Amino acid sequence: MLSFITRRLVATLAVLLVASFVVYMLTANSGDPLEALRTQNDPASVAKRATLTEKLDLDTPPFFRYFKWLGGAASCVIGQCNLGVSVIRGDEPVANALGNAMQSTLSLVILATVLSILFGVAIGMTTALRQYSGYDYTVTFAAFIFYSLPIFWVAVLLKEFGAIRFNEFLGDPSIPWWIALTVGCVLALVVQAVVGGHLRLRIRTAGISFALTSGILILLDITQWLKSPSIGIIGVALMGIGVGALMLFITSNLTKRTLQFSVGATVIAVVAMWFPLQFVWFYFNNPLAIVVVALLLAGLGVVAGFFLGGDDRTEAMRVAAITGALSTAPLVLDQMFMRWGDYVQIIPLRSGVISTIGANTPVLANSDDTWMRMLDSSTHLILPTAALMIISVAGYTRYTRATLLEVLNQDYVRTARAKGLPETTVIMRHAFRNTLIPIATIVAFDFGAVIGGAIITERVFAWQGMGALFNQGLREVDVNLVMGVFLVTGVAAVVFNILADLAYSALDPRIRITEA
Amino acid sequence: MKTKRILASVAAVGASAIVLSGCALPYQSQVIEGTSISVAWNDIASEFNSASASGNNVANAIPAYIANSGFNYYNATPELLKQEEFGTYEKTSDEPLTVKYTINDAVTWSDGVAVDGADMLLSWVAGFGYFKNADGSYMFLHAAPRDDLASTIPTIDGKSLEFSYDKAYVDWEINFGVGVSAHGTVMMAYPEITDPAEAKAKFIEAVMTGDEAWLQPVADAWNTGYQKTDATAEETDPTTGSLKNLFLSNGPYRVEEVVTDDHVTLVANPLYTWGPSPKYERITIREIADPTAAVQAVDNGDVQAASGQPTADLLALVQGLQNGSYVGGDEAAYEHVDLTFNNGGPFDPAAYDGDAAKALAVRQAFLLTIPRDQILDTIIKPLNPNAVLRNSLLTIPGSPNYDAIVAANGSDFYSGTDAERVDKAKGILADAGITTPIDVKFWYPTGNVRRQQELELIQANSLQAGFNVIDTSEPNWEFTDPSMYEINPHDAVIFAWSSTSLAITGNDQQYGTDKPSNFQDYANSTVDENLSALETELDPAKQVELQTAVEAALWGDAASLPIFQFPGLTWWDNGLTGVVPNPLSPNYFWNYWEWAPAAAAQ
Repeated sequence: MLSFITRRLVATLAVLLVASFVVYMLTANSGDPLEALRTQNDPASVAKRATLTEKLDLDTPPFFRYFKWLGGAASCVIGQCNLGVSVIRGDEPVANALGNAMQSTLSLVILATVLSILFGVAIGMTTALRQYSGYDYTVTFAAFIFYSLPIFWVAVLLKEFGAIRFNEFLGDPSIPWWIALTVGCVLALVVQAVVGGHLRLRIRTAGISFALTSGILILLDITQWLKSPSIGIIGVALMGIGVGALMLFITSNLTKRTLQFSVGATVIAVVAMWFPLQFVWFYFNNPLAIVVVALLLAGLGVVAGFFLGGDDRTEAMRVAAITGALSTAPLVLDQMFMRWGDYVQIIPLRSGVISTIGANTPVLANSDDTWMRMLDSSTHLILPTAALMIISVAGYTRYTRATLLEVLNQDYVRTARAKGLPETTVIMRHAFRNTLIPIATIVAFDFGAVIGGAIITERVFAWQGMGALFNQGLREVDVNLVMGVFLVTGVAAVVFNILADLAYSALDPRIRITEA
Repeated sequence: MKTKRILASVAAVGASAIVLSGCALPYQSQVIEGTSISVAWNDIASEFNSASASGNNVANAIPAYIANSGFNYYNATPELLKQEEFGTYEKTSDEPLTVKYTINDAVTWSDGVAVDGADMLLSWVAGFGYFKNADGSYMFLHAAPRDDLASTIPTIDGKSLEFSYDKAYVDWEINFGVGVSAHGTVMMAYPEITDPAEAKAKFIEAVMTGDEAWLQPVADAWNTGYQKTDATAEETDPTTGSLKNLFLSNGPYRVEEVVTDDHVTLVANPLYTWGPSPKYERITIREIADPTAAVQAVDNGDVQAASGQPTADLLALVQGLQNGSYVGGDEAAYEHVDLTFNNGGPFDPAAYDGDAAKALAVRQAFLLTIPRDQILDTIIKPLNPNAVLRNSLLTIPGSPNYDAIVAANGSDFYSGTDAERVDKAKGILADAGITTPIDVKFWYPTGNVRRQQELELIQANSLQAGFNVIDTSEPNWEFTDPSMYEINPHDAVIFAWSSTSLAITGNDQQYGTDKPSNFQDYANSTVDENLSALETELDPAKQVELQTAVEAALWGDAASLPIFQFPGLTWWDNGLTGVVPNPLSPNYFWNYWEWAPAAAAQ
């Protein structure tokens, strides 16, 4: 294990070294850092040019400057990074600028990657299971469209419709009945296509989804819920049931009575905790509260599973614990929605809540109220994350579909079916795990692509991260800054590759990275 | 809802004004409680000392301008206006040029300490590069130290400061003002000094006695101590904050919060009891680098005002704003064509065996064939309908002396329509006995679409008179670098000069013989003499005469042809009133105190 990682690290270092040289030379030769000063008829510009030439060491050829930079960067190993100063940022040390930018970019990129994997794999699996159905063709068609969309264009459109128009709608949220019915029809079509089965089953599924969707939309309109949305105890209960059902489905335990009881009891406990937890959220106003509550609810799940699990005690404890932990999400969402009314008053938007620029609202950036800050971050994160996701999801969908189809045709799956296992068990337990192996490779590759996409996304959404620094550095030929960004993103991409290698061995017992 | 709150606040302020008017207060703040505004700029401040070498850029100048007042400022015309409520200045002697600055009594820093001579002394010491290190470098790293202009220590009398220049200097009015606070800088350098009066006294004493060892930490604080990209409201609090000395300001606002690369929030300064009152309680400047994003941000209400360089797409977007307004205007940069005099090309007398008259005829003919009207109409007018041709090489259209200079500088040689000018060019070439076609190597920076279009128009038009314009564009401005090319290899170049002020000096860099920005190797002793005379001419009437003489020589020699002023575009939410663009820094921020909520203006 250790020798494998060491070997990988050495190889990585060599790759980074060559890449850094190439990037340095390309950036240094990409333009003239003195250009703006050359065309100023300000008497001081001559003196400024001389100062800048000296500061940037422009009289030394880039080839030799690279090694000076490398010397400084190499001392990172002994904990004394010297990545130089960024002249265009008022001589700010590059390490300092990176520290701030890294956090916002990584939070954006990691969130987008995780969500893309979740959605992409889920959609991909459903298409594989309904191969050559109308649903499959539609998703394939959509995936190819999204896959080929330029991200800057997606981002601008998202802002136009996801923010500006949607905010206008939120200002006066009326849903005409015919829209409610149309949306219901469309969703009914989609759902019956995913669920499949024979005609009667399809008609029934379509009917239920149509009634549910249209009903909810009409109810939203009548109660004017969108004007001041809230979740409350009822919302928490509904979402808790949803989480429980989903967990049962994923672990293919939907029909096991013991599991149903354990998970059901957990959900009831979560709902019962809603009121006492209000005090926790209020007095323990800290992101840590989420972890504490998640652990607490997971504990409740363990207890429920222990007493109600019967023969499947271990499985029941595990599933109920996860259900409990995941049920923290609706509770936190509830806290965020409680602040909706105040939030709308504070933010400068004309109407609605979705923001098009930045990572937060200036006045709320240092707010004491964690849940208000989270609400604010969410309204700012939603569009850039969606922009990054749309393209990644399309890719994951395709890969998952292809891999799952291949796995489903293998002998061991046939064996599993032959011995009479339910289809969900065959897919979730036997096929799914092997599907993940190729996906792990894609994740590592895709992470690099998402960072690349973030450079554009950050510019369009005025998000101040690595991408913004890279843009700024390249535009004004600040080699130190560009190299700093390269170093961080390069290392991040490489680290993800190593992690993918490690994930192989965890997923595939045939792969051994220890020397036998 | 917000409108209601604003109206309520207005009513409250109005009511209290009526109650208080019995007391006849001399100054009534018009700040409306609870109002705030977000505006966009393409970069965010990183340093609060915008005079230092590292802090000298527009992004830093904007918050500094909003937080501080000064002796003068540029309005949108643009012309220089005095801010007499802050303080006054006068020229007390012409020989030697001596000036006296006095700050009014009511003017204080945001911690309550008076703005006085010590602050001006700090600014003077830094701006005139008075102290130097052993190796000859400046102790205070000012962006443009002018130790060539003044070297005699000023005299301080409380709130006044008087000093003399070593030589008469035409731009003295915009060369000096108050910068960062003296006591704040000293207290940053010497944290053990807690009494502002003591800090000021020690600083003055050290400067007067030349105690460089004591001043070195002060200089360090001045050079780098104001670099701060992140600060919370508690830290910047002027009475208790840990960074209170760093963010001291003397104007309508003070810095409340800075968040790296994201925003700077300024809050109304309660100690500002003089001068024009601002209306918004808070101004937040947010960073939006992409102009398209800035349009959508105004549409969505994330910010209320923004500006950028227009393109056809951007203009279409701005025109589509439902609740927004926009105005096109000029920017400070202007496009022009320069001809090269010494590279053996068609504009060099050497190409005609030293026949200067022939070379002049070719230069005149070529400049005449540049389709200025067509360029303006097809490229610029769609972006700025009010655009006009620029006919002066030294002054911005609209600036005080522009009309007088244009009337007398000989630019009317290039008047008439494009077609008339081509005929005129043909006539000149024929009279001089020049054989066509003439090859002209023409440079523009590769990748600049607008200039590529301009070149295409020029190629088509000048061909009619027999000029064969060859595209020698390259991406880097190598001809401006003497170490690459001692002689400019291009016969004609097109680019823009950008001005940052209405300074009268500075043009000698471009047109003076052998000066560093004279890439065309233009040499004319009349121009040299007049430009150097201009630098020391204090009489405004004579300044115009000298500028006219310089221009007349430049136009007469057919050295350079200005075309248009760069178009700018500013757009804002209709909930905001009072936004007026300004070609000079700090651009549309120049009249921030006039910005008001539309609901309050009614």
